[in-house]
Amino acid sequence: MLRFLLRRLGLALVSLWLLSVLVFTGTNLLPGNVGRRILGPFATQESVDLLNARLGTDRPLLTQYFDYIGGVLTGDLGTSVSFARPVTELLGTALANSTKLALLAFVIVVPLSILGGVIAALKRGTLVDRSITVFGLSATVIPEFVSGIVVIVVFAITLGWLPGGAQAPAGSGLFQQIRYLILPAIPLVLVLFGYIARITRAGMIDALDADYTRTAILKGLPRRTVIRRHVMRNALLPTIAVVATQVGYLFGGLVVVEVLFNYQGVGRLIFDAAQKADFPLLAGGVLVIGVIFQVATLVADTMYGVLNPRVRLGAES
Amino acid sequence: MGDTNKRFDEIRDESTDAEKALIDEYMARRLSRRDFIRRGSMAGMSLPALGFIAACGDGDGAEDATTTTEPGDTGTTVGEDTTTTTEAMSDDPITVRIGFGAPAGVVDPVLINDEGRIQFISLIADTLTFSSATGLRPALAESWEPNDDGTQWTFTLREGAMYNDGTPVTADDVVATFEGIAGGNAASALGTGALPPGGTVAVDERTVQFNLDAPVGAFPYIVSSDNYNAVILPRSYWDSYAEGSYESSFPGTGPFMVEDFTPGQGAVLVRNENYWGPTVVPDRVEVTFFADDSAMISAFQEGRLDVIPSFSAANGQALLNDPNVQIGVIETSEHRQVHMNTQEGLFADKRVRQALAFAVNRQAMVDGLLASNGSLGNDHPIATLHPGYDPDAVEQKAEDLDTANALIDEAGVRGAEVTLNALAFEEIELLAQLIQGAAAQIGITIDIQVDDAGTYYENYWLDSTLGITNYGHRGVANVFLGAPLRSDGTWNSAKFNNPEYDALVDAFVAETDEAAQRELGGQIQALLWDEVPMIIPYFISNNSATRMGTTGLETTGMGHVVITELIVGG
Repeated sequence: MLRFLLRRLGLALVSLWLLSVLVFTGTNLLPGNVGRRILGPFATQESVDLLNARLGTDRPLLTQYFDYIGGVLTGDLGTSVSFARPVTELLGTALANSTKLALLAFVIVVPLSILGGVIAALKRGTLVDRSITVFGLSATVIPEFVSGIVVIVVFAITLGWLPGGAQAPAGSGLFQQIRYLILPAIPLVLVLFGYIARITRAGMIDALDADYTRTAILKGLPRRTVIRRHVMRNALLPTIAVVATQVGYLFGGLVVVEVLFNYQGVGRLIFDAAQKADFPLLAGGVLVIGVIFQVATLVADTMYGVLNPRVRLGAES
Repeated sequence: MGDTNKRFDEIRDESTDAEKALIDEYMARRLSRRDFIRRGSMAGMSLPALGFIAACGDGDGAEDATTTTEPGDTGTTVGEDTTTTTEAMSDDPITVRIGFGAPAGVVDPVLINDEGRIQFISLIADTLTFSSATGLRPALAESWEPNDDGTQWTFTLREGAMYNDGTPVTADDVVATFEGIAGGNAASALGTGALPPGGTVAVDERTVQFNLDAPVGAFPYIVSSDNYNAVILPRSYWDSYAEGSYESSFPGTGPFMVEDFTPGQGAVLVRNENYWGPTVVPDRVEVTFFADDSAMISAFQEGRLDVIPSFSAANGQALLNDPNVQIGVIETSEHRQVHMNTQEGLFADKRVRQALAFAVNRQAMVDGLLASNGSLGNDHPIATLHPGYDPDAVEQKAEDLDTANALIDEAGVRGAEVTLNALAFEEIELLAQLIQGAAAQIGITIDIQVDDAGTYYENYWLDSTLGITNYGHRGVANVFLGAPLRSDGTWNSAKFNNPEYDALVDAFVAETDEAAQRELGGQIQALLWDEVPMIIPYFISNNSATRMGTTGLETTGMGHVVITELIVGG
């Protein structure tokens, strides 16, 4: 198991290094002059040149890269050129915000969709199964900006039940913060529900049809025990992998939801940074999402290993 | 103390019975400060009187009933029995919740170039003069005068003006400010004002002289809020200037000061007790930054905002159609320039430019794109609100397809194809489509290419056959007439090169006499109307939204927000 984990960790580090190279070259290949983007179209060329020199964006790319990677290794992600603040500070606030939203969405969607998937599989072919499947698929294809606007108009503006902005006032307690995050979480739940429920349903059906399940039933085990110990344990393996791949999306891909609910999360921050050619912020953000993604995958792999001995044994052999 | 009591008695004596009852209720602490101001304003009490009485019953928790009144102070107490009640009332600050555009970057006076940052800094710092929707008025400078030929302007600073940390404003600060902003976004504005490096001189503590390279009749606008970078800040700030250092203490002379600031998210401002101006009604301003109008509008509809100082008609239909929302509309000179390359390509022939100008339906654009919140443009950038606008110079262009088609046939370009470059900003993409439709009616095929602002400005703004650029509001037309249209103009997208025009603009800019300037303005209008280096289809009004009964919101076309006298209704 340890060797398996170390190998995964090594791979994660290589992926992150590749990511840093990709982001660096990508952002530097993009058209756009940093000084010009900050000062705007109406500033003089001399001012722009001066600013570029001060920011160091006129130096050779390789020098800039080594400077950058040196900083990253010592925990310094540089200074955002558009906000003139340390990237770590800006990312810290945004990451805290994203984590809250992602956690809430996860806490709602994971149990709900797994339950939906399990019920659908157990009631295979019935109206219940079809309802869950159709609802899940329909919800998944509704873009977040549509469901987001609908929940704002219905629950925030018309009914006035919940705030339509995700940012709770400063000093709000936990429950108050959750209240502010419920509406933004709904579009995310809708997008993910159908996906996770379907994978769970498929896994469950496979497991229900498997020989070992039949054996367990024939052995006379109670149905509940069969489902819990034999079916679900196997059925949830693909679900875990799917949930883990959604972590990156929940942290970095929520630009639309964050703009709609006026929330300063990592997604919006990175999107802004890309628009403003703010390389340090963009690179820092992408790297952080890369780390989160890797950690999520690592956690998923570990859980996979715990649930499925074949994985860890395979790795050790 | 005696003075305060005397003034209090005077105000009370001069009040109507209903007002007296309100004052008594308030002083007896049966009415909150917020309710007193709201009901007092509805009863018609003057704002200075309201502010004075409100301050009499207010101690802000910081000072007790024995506080003495400094000269110029509005006083904090009346009577000796207010000590305990003052403390009790200090929990009831008047808070205004306002939505601003998300700052495009760090709040730094040198770098500001977007509405969000202009809105924000307008609450905490001042320029020498203020360019309001109705004209220029004194701000940190109380008076100014030019020399005989308009090449030297002398400004006298307001006596007793202080920064929010209590240090006085000096002429040397003004010198440091204009030196400090010269390399940033303000460079173009200062160039328009012919203000050279070293041209700003402190004559004495309160007198500043601007020595210009050329006569500029509208120079007071160059140091006004129109030049939003030119907020006066202390010499000490400029001496240790670094990019973004402004956010460490937010110095300024404005009505509010920053208590808390979170980049990209919002800020909490509190009243600046050292403010030079008259009464400031709100104690606290909660600013929320919004990356897009829709989120801001839904926050207002939900009741999480009291004021939206600016929103586009394109995104704000929900507010414009809501009978429970008070919409404020002010005319501005913000406009779109549809430039046509006058030197090469399809539009080198004047007749083709004229044809396209006759093919567009301006009224339909104002109605459709701006929800009627705008005025017709006439292919010159002198707006009706500008000094120098001549209403009789030229007739208003309107859609005239017969003339347009005749001009196209005369030029022999029917069937021509051209690319229209535009930037993704507010209604511009829709404008591009309307122009495409108009061109189709005269046999010209337009291919639209829309880019984000950064890409557009870098690649197409100054290098395109046909393009659309947004120009923000200016109180005078000088900038619009110079850089985008002069033969040596740095923003001359149309490559317009007309010596007669250049000479007219030189004379227009130098003229200090209003009637003479209007005469020159008329000639410029006529020349551009005929030459059509650009189509200016409309000028855009600024829309603000407040709750019914709200009074005291002032906005400018540039984005400045004045809420010192704001009383939220509803």
